[in-house]
Amino acid sequence: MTFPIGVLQQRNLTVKGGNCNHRRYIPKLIGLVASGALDPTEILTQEEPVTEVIEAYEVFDQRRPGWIKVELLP
Amino acid sequence: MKAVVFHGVGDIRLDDVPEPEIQEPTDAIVRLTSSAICGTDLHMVRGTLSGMKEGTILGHEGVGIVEEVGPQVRNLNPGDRVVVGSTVGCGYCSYCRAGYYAQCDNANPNGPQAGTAFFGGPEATGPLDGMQAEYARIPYASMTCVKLPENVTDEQAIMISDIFPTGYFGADIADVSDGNTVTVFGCGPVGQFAIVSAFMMGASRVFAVDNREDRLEMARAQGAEVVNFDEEDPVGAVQELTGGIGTDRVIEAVGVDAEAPGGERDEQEIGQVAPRRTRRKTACGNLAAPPRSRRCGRPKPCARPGP
Repeated sequence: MTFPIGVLQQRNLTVKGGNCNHRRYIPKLIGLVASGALDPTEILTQEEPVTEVIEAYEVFDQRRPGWIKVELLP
Repeated sequence: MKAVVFHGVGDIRLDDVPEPEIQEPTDAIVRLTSSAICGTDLHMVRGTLSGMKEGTILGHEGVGIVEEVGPQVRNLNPGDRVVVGSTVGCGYCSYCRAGYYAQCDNANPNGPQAGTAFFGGPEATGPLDGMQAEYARIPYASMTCVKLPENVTDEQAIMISDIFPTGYFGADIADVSDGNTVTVFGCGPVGQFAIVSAFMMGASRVFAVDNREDRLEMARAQGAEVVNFDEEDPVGAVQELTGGIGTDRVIEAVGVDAEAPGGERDEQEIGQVAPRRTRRKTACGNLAAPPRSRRCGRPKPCARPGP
């Protein structure tokens, strides 16, 4: 796969990537949720006890409707 | 204790394994009360994220109670309820002190050049046993565990372990500011948080691209303008909606297992980046973004009109 460096040059683009620096944001996001400004739980769809976790993996892998994020309760 | 263990591509099992123990004075042991499965875990199981060591416990998201602390953990007590960040940073090297915890010099046993140390990942990231388990050893616990206030539930906090920061990071490195228009590719959990983060940072409009109706509905509910790439060309649609200009910023929140419209997959390209990927019956699409790049800032070529 070739990186489109010519387009980057011609259009003065900036491309950035990487792994998240979690610790940089976690305290701020805790504060946002604690203040009531935002509730992230609307995104969770399915609760599973851990004995069914392998099945949860398989179903999540199929990207079935409604399976957006899976929380595990050990 | 029970834990989800990686045995090979396509082979994960719920095994009985020894409970972890304090190894370094800066460790803590956390008893997990909530964990999660991430899209990245699926990449590991499918083989598109390669290099996993057999026997590694999976899971890089966790909320729990501190059970035990090493002698150099001075800001936590057993009994504290904490969220565990997915990536580990020491907090004192030059990278951590500049906020680049994902490039910590000390957290990765493979050395300062090895890159990010995170839980439940390939050998190049540690490997560190993860949190799809009853207990986990948390290195550099003073930094990696963050105490939770009473009014933030476990259910809310598990989002703050990984996916909310990751989506937020996408919007952050994309330099979203007041008035910007933004396109988010991928409406999985990270994409959803990228959308909300982009709005928080002042984006005037966020276009959300995916092909799964349930994910698009969720994006729409957040105020994103949705585009289904199986129904229309996403670049053309975004251009049309922006007077032909495209958007100021693009956030790629899909990952290695990207699909293109029509469901074709460029197996050769996949083979170059993920040689041990499992065969799957369903067809998938061409890579829509450079492999392994998880977030991009500033306009990508596809989001702008061009000659």
